[in-house]
Amino acid sequence: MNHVNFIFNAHLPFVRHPEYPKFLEEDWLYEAINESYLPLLRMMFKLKEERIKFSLTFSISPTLCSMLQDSLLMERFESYLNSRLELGNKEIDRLSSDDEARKLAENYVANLNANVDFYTNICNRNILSAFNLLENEGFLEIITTTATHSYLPLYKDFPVAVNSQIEIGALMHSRVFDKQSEGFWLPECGYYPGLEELLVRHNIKWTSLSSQSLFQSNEKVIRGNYAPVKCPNGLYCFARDYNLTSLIWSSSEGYPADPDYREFYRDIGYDLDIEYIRPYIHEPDVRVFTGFKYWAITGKTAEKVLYNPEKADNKAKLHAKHFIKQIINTGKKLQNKIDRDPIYTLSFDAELFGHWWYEGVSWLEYVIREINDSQSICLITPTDYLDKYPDAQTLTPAFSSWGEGGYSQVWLDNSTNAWIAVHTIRSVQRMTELACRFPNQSSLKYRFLTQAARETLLAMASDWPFIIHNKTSEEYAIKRITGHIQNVNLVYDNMCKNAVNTEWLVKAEKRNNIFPFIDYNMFHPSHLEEPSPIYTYNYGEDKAK
Amino acid sequence: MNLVNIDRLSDAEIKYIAKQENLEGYEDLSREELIEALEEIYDEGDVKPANEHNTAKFLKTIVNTDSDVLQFPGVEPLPKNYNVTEIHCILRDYNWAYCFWSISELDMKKLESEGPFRLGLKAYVTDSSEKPYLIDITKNDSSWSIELPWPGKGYYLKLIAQFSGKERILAQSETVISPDPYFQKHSTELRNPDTWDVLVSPLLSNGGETVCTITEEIIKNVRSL
Repeated sequence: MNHVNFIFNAHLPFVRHPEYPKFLEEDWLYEAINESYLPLLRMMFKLKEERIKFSLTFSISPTLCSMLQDSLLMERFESYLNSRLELGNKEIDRLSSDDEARKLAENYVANLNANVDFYTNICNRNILSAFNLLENEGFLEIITTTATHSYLPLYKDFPVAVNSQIEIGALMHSRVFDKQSEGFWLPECGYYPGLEELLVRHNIKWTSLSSQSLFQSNEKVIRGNYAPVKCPNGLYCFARDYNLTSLIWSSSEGYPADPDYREFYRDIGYDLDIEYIRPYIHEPDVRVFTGFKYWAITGKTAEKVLYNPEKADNKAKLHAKHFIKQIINTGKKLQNKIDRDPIYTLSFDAELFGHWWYEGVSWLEYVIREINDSQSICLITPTDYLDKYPDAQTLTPAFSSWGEGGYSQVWLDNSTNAWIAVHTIRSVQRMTELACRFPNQSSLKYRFLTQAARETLLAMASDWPFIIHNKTSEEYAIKRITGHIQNVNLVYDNMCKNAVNTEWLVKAEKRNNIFPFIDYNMFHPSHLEEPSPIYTYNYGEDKAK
Repeated sequence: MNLVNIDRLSDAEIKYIAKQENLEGYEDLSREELIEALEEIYDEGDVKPANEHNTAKFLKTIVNTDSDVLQFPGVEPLPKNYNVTEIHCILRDYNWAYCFWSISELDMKKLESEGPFRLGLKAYVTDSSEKPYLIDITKNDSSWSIELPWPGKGYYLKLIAQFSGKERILAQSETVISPDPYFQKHSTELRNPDTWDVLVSPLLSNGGETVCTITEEIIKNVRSL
């Protein structure tokens, strides 16, 4: 039997700007919900209704959980949906004389209406509840990740900071889903030997690593990536299968690059006249993606052909069949070469499906259906696989990541972002110093120090150095990372003078209101000697989360 | 004074500023009326700040579009130097570490008072007969990429000041350990086709791309045997 272990990492950085009526970077959340999370959920619910079995793993990051539970952001999301519907209906009018293009616009409007209906009537405006329901009914395993998706190898020498990231992740999961997370998604698959000690403190049983993590261990791996290994302290590690994931992930060879699929970068937000599109973009005349895209990839040419959804859907079916065949062929190749049925760990960013790769959700559905009909392939979660095969080779994986280059090059790039680590490490040191010098404060000082802890965690986010390295929303990323570091420095400087800047505190608490349950004392080194708070959390109690 | 972007503030923020400006009856004013009133207060030739310090603070948050309202009041620009003497070393990949340091003003003054000196980074290899090697740095340097030529070894750095005839250690970094993949030394084992299928196949795309450079090196070794 070939065991297929899909792990989807759903994550967005914490972006929330209540001080603006509309903020460009908040669109990341609305696009991801509209184009990935809701379509994925609708697809899974459809399969559930048809009694098609599936087992998938979703990591939902604490920052994403926070934003999905934030009433302001969800209100703005609903406005976003309404505005897209309005634009969609305008498009139908505009394209009334072009049958093919008009049908595309009608499709988009139909999908939007389906999203609205699902969000309102099935999710009751709480998207996380839909994920939770699927897990409770045995279709999903939901896991957590670090508090702010921090790339942990940079902080290897600061275990208090690493522990804080893991602990908040574990605790957030407990609060949102009312259960402990058995698995843990390491951001960017960033691992270093020794990290497992901090993971098991929070009762984490398994994690997922990059493809080369086992092969490049100091020790000889026996079953390659086709079985998990166990660290000496008992944590299980599943390594990603590069061969199979590159069928999807590779920008040159992967399915999403197929000429029949929809071109992401040709969007009416950039193509149409500014007067027409102005109500749906950002001020002042900042063009953005609207989600209304009418062209197929076609090839390496600026002359695109009109997108044909039937053709694209047929291609998705073919690619699903091709994928299944690859799995079966790999399984045949492995017969008698390893002493158990193989597992293929296929981890992806969730936003690839539906957002970056429009047909990705359909492709996934077809894959699930094919597997459901197959006698030689099954979907399985890591936890279920470990129930079946608890024995594993003991081995310490190698320092690695799934980032470009395979290690920490993306986050320590001399030419773009290495300067950030200088400041964030100083922030972590200062936060620890504050926790040691001012332990167990109350009232205003407690709030002041706790906000500094939030800012420290937010400064450790891997997203900003990643964006700066890739030169996408550079200006915003630089402002964000600079802002968080400045905030930590402000608290440090004030506390050294026995002062509390209340104006700062009010504004910072209002905007960066993430993790209301955090306590700055977790940055005290002695906190590492205490048992994890997930053991004392009151599961099952009805409380505001 | 032109209040740029005051209309980007929330109602609550505008009311807060109005309160700080002791604007009478601000609670009963509409948003448009508040903005108009504040613009009048800051109008040139008619500046009657309730408190000069508060005015300067608000102008920073409203007028200064470089800092923008993403920043909170009271924050300072990021320092070039945190005024501590320390050095850190982080593993970047299998062959390189990223190292950064700072020297406090007090320590720098002490050094300068003792006569001419040179700064340097001394790189040590643990468990090795290799002698430490010296990298000359200047006062303006604050980071360096350190090569890690020997797999499996620990490397650490000392930030030193060299005077004629003597050397002072200012700070020492953490030790980074360069990984030592088993198959870098045992690549012949991969020549076995079954071993290749199990261990190497999941690291190669169908088009022959390898997952990372170290894996590619190992595979090249195997193919050259």
